[in-house]
Amino acid sequence: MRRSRRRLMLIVPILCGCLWAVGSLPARAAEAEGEVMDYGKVYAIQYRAYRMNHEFSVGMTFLPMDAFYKFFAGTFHYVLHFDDLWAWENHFSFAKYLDVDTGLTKELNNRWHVSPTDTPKIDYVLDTNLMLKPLYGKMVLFDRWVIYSESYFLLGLGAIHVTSAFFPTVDVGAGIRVFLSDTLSLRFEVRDYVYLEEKGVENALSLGVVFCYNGFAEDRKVVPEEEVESTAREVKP
Amino acid sequence: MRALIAILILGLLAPAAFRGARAQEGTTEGGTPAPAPAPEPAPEPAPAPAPGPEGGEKPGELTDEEKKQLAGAIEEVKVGPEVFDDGVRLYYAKDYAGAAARLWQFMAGNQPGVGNYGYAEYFLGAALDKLGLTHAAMEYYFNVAKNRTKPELLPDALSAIERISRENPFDWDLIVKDLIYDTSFGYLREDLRQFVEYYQGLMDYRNGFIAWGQKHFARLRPDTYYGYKARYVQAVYELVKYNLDEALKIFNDILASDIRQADVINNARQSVARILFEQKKFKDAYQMYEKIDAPIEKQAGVFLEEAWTQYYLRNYRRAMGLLYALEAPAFFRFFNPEKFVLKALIYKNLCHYNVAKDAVTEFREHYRDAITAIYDRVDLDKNDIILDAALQDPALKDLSAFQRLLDTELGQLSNFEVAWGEVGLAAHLAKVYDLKIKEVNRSLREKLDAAVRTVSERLLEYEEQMNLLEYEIGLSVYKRIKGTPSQKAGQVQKVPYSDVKVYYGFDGEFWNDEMHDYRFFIEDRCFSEERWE
Repeated sequence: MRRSRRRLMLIVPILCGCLWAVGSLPARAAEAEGEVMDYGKVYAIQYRAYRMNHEFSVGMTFLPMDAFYKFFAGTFHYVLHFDDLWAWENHFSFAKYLDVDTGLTKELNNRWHVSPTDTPKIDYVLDTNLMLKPLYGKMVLFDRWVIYSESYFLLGLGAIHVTSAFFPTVDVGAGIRVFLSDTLSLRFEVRDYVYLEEKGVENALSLGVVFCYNGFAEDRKVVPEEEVESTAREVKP
Repeated sequence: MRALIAILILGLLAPAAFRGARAQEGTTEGGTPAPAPAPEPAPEPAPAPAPGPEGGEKPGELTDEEKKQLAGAIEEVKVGPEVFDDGVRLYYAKDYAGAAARLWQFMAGNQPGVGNYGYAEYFLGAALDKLGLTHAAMEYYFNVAKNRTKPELLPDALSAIERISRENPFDWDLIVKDLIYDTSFGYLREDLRQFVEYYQGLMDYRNGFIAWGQKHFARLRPDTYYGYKARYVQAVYELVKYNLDEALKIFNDILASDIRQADVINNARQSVARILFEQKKFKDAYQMYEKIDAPIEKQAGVFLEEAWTQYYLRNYRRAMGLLYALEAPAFFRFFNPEKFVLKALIYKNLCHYNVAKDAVTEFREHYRDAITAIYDRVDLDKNDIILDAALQDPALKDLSAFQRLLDTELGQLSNFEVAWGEVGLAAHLAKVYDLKIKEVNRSLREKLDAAVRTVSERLLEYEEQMNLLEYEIGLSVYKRIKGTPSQKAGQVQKVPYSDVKVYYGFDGEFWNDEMHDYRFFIEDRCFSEERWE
């Protein structure tokens, strides 16, 4: 029962990620198949207000899946943004988890006189991820302020330390970054670590808030270029 | 005046009552402080604005009943200095509605010469100011500054007038013509002197007394807000003389300053851009237009002028994008027949002859009623389009903005009916606003006729241009049909997957931050033109 539930937990986030990715495909596909700009369409074309470069960040994550313990973790990230679409999250995320007792063990003991075996606890995770950032846009806060954001997807490999041993792990994730300034931004993300331990495949879902500093931001600042239109040739009316 | 008559009657009929009334002013014949009678509300719903605030009415014959009633009113309106004190206390306790009621009670029950009358006027103005009734506040600040019964209040009153005049539409005739231009204030502190000198100089320039105006402006400190405003006036005067280089020099001086007030800077930027446009420096002109950072709803004219610069730079996509921005709801009332002319020209230059003709038709559809009204010589100000356009005339713009402010503030008076109804302040202010609205409407009406005529003439000119354009498009169509190629192996542009530029497809929702960035992508079909050159 527990195993099937865990599998479900593994499948659901992956499925959601796939659906999201597939859902965003048709629009892009239409463009790739020849939705060109020269047919009476109006675009608002703007330079990106914010561009990431070397990202250093710290965050806090919450792992809600374990029924016996709730884990909180501090995370550390370094992300190298190659361009506006791809980045490498060199996720040296050294995360030491602090356990908070949910009281379930005590309740089982008191009510049913059952003592569950000691469940393995996650200590820390090291992983490295490829980051894809296909969505960039803006929102309006209270019809007053324009907020810029981008969404990203993660896929990576790493190692997870559970109780006393390391296990290899694969992780997937998705998140949204809200830009506060050229150099500061906030990320809200969800990740799922799948790892193979002695008892079989396990997974750990984490929800996180990450505070990011964009190093060397000025190197990526766009200097607007002068536009030369194809119509700007000499045409005698 | 009624109170004066009543006092005279009372003086004849009841000397004791007269002494009582004097005692309320704070002194007795013996010079000892009078016992303060308890303040009572005025018995009449709307005590006349005694001699004071608004000036008097012509004395008419009163019936005996009215005289008795009036005499009774005077006897009952016992307003001593404690009412004034109470009003001031409420003002500092931030109960502005209560303060205004008490101060009005004091003013309505006393002569203008009474000790604290000037202070009461000032605090009443300040309370009304705090409540957002700027015109009423201006009226009382005007009294304080004009009459100067309390000269020590002049700086505060002028300071309040200066602030309101910067932030809100205001009664130009009352404040600038009657107060500032017509009064010698003597010594004023520096910031107020700047304000007064600027408006006095401006009025001299407007009236053609340039030498006097220059004297006033010469007394301004050059690095102040009013100093730069004066420079702007001088630059505009150079423009009027068509001395473009000198005007440009002054505007550039303003732009080189570190002044923070956006109105001066933006006006200077737009003026510089216009001069550069006239000098056919379209690229520089466009860059200057782009620097204007006024609120978007005030930029309709800027968008249109930018579109023309882009048209002359042959950036038709950008020019069309700017014309699209003018479709935003914020610009709905902007009188803009030029938009259709420019649109038709762009389509024609890209050899889209059918849509170019559509633009001509669109113009005719949009202005059909207005043009028909002009040809029929019916009442032009009954036509919404012409009326709206006329009200955008610079001569009427400020006046109509002031009228809207009066309407809004008159509507706000109902919020204070409970606090002011009994003492009659609500009725008094309603009357003040009502009279001012009538006056402004009369003034608008006088100027409207000329503006309506100007708009009508402009509209007919545009119609003529559109007719000519339609003819030219017809000729071009004929020329085009004879061309053999029907397909152009053109360069196809695609939206990149990721770029430093973001492409937001326009779906009818206007975002203020995108207004300057619209591009209308359209195929250039003039591929065989060279055959006919």
